[in-house]
Amino acid sequence: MPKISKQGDSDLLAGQHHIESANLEIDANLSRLSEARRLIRSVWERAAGHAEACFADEKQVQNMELAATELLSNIIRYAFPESADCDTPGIKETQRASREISVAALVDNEGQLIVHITHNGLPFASDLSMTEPLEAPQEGGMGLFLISRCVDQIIDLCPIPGQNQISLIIYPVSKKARKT
Amino acid sequence: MTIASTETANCQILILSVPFEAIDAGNVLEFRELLKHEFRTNARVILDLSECEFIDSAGLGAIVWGIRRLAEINGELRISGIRKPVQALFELVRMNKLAAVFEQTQEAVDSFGT
Repeated sequence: MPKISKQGDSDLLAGQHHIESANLEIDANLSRLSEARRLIRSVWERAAGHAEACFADEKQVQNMELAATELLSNIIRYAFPESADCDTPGIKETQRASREISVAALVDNEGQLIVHITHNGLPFASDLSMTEPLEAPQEGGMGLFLISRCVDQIIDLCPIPGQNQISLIIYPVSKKARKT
Repeated sequence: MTIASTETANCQILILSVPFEAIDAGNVLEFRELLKHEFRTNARVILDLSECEFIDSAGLGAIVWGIRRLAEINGELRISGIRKPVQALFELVRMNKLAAVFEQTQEAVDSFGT
């Protein structure tokens, strides 16, 4: 189960420097999911050229690609009720105009692989700490379970009113070893 | 989807080779339609995922749907050709509790014959 932090813990991300990063703006459309995965992988591959640091391994990057895909899917489907791909029932319009989602991937100076997903749609309503182990795979409802199993830390922030940011963090192998 | 048919001593087997590098929420409806189109009563189906590098929960849900749908009509779906990222996902969700998974398609074919 990842460490889950809510608003008020923004200092957790403060003061950290990244050694590689890239950003992507996508509209709330499920056909854009693969672009986010490519962004994450390209940042990780570039960071791997910095020999002085210890980074996430291939499996961890795959985990981040999966977690970010699941989170983005969830945001696209539920945060923008007016979009064609949104499944939120009973809501016709939102006062928020933009349906853009910002995806930032970075590797920081501690070797952590971090993805920030920022949007101004409806806030993420699900409780990631409530995911139960699966007995067997199901037809639906596995997204939050996968997020919770794929990353080490989740930070759910509201940096400015009306804006939501969720950060997914995977520790490098060396940091995991220290924490266990 | 590439579709091949092969026969063992006991039955005819349909091999569906998934043409996507990824099955995610962006293309899962297309994938599900391709599956649905090939399902017949008593069908023995192998889903060959050797081209597929990535599957998310939506893709996984469609495969689970396929397994259950075929079981309802006395068929069976088995999976072959999984690559490492997909294998890790299958282990995480315990896919082996629902369907037989094989590294090679020929192994899956042979398994129907036994």
